[in-house]
Amino acid sequence: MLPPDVLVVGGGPAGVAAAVDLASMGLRVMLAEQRDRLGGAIHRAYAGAGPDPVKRNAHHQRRWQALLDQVSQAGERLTLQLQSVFLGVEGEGRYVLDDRTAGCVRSVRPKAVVMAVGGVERVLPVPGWELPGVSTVGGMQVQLKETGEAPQGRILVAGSGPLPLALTAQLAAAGNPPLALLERGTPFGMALLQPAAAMAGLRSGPALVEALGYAGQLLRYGVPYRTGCMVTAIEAVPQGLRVAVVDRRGRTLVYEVAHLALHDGLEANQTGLPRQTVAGLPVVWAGDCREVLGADAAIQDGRQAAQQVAKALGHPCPDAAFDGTLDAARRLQAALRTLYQAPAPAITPETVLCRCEGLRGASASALQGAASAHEIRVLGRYAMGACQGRFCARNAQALAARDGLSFEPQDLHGSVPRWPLRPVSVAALAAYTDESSTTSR
Amino acid sequence: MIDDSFFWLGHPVGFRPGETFAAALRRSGLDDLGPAMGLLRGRYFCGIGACQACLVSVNGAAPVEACLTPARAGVQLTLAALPVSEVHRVTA
Repeated sequence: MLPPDVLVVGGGPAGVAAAVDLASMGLRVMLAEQRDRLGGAIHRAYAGAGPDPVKRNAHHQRRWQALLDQVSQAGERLTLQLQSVFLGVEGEGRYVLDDRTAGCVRSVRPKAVVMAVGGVERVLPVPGWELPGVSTVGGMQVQLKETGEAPQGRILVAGSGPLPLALTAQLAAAGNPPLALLERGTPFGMALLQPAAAMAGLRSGPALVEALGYAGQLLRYGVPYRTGCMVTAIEAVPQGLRVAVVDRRGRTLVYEVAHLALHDGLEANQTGLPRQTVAGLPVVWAGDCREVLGADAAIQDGRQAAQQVAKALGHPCPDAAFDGTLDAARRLQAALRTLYQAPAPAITPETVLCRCEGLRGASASALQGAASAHEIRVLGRYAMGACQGRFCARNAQALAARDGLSFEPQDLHGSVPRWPLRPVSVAALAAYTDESSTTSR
Repeated sequence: MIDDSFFWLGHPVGFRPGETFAAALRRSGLDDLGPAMGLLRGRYFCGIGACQACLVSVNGAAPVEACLTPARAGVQLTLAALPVSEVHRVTA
């Protein structure tokens, strides 16, 4: 098999948009996706038979279907490399993938690369967030999409932003309305204080219609939407989880549930991604891993990435005119950040800050003399666990800031990418296949 | 229609073709995925392979994310994490 001209990593809206555009220009494209089907988190496919029981946003659904049609039309120019996890890049520009279907690590040496690995959720640490039964809102949502079923038993949704609202409405429609949706922020009060942000939110037609639809579902199923409510502690009890909450008047509420979904925003998933050029190969980031702007913007960003790649390769490409989708998405995201701003829960000695290694707030005292992000990493082991800091780097940043040390989360990694990005088996490494030359194995 | 199953610590767990191990485990109420580092427990969390909290072993092989891996009939699923006695404890 000839090596691809372009490797696209990530089969969500941005990666698929980039891949089909590059293929339509006549380039050979390999699209690597970690799951067995395309879609990413937003379009996680229903695994059951028959019609999808979970109601999805019709606008996003139409656009996604159009992309899938283009995938089928691309024919042999587009190769899907499914169940394949991006591990890193070796020195000569070989991109290394863990092909879990074949049980081997394989490398490809394309002429250019598009990284489109999406976003990652932020969950602010509170005592007990690490317990079984607690998931992210997005985590619960992708399982709902995959199975068509809400989890059984009582559910509580808490945190901040629009995604918890969407999940709550979808769970209710799927037959298990959550006990409540607890929002840390006070978006309605903030709208009065920040009318410009409120207006920016109102001007975004599709987002507003989507939000009103979800709010309607909450009313219909009688799910209370409580703003200014912060989860302060979660405890494992024989029946499940006991969740302590402080409301806006300072009163403590207690919920006993089987499942708790938490979400405090989305961040670009940039951990370990190759930057600009590696060994002379152009690398373009696209979609939420470049900047979290949502699904519509991700498609546009993927298309722009395809143009950038074609130009870098000197490949003829039709000049596409891009509208203001990215700017509009940026304005909406800024408005949402303003409307949902809220204080974070305090870090207590028992709060787990790094789940991979079980590091708690109490360990902070040992780091008080740390003079740099590097020392926080080496002494505290932050960002050294299996998730490579995707969930703890911000916590380490917050911890250090209390002692007057400021750094960006990515500074914990230093200047060297920590590859492999995911644990990989020795058996798969031993079966390594180099596809950068025409002979393999 | 659930007519396939795999085994979690020896107990049969039903699944629908096309869904992940994690989805089937949750349907069966199996939220606790055993001992993990720092005296914590393994569990499903992010659903996108980012947090590494739901690692399991399929037929004794190296760990994979239960949230990404399609369920397969007849396989033995076991804990991927080290038993607590082997976990190195990071002390302050």
